[in-house]
Amino acid sequence: MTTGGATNSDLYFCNTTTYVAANSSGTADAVYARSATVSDCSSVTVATCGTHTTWGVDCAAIGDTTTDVSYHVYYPNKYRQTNFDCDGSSVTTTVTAWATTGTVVTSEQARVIINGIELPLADGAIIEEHGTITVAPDGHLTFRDFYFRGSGEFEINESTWRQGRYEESEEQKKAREFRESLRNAAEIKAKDLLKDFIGKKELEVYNETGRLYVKGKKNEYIVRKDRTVQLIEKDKIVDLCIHLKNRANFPATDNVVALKFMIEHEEDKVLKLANRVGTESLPEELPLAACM
Amino acid sequence: MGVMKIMSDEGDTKISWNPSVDKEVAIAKDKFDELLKKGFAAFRVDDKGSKAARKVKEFLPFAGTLLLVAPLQGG
Repeated sequence: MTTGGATNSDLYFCNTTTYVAANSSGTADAVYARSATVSDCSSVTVATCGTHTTWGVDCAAIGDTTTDVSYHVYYPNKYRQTNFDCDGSSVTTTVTAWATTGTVVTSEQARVIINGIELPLADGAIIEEHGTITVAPDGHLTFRDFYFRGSGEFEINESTWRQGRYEESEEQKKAREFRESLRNAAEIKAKDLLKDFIGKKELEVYNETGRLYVKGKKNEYIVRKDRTVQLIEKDKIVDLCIHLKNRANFPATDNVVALKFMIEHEEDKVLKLANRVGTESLPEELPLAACM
Repeated sequence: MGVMKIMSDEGDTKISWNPSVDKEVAIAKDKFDELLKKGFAAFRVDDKGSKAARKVKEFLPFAGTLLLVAPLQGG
């Protein structure tokens, strides 16, 4: 398929009913769409109009005898995605894109942005004529209009189609709810374990704040549920990143219990393992934590 | 009765043993040794709180309650 004579790497969308094209600056008056039946894009031509490079359809080449062609300006270009597939663990869709320099757009040229968040493409990812964008399992992807901007960038905003997690089957829903109930049960047991060491009253403070004050032989710490450990120094607080190996496999409060024991009994080891990831000035008053 | 509480994805799993029953002691000891090899830290705990706990490196059949803490890593 020939793609016109532009020399920059702009993208075209083409389906069987419309095509849209943009120049690299993505300015509105350089973007055109033709509402007509186009069986292929081979007749796209490039012309220069003033200071802008434009693309249009050669009516005669596709057999359209109408000379008064109405151009619709779209900015940004929109191509509605309708062909989503969900296999229960991931959502895929195909996008059609052509580059003027060839028939493929590589990840170096293309970016995928979903709801404002860039989706990293694998090294060497190729989005070909019918490219695939895959969403990881449990990913929250919601998109409406799929479109691209100039300079080899295309963006997905929202879609009227919600797939994957939000359209899970009844069986998948039951399996997910079961997994969640196991996680909740494990967290309850972990809190029971913590209660053995800090008592019911302090556990209530922990439940409310998610923080546990721990005193080592050398320093004081605030161990936070699901967050970094705070080392309290004379004039500042240092954020320490240290946690259970494979922490996703453990309830969050087990992580707290482990840190409490290790700080109290193996403080040097904790300080050696932990990564210092940030500091903040010492507040006038430390936030409330259990066992303070 | 001895109890070993082992941190796991279920919250904590428990292994208990009768110190007078050799077979039960052997099973508990095997598990203890296996976990220590995997980097778990073992503490003998009682009802006086975690600070009164004592780190142990060998299985103690008459320890009462042992807590096996999973290994930590820097993040």
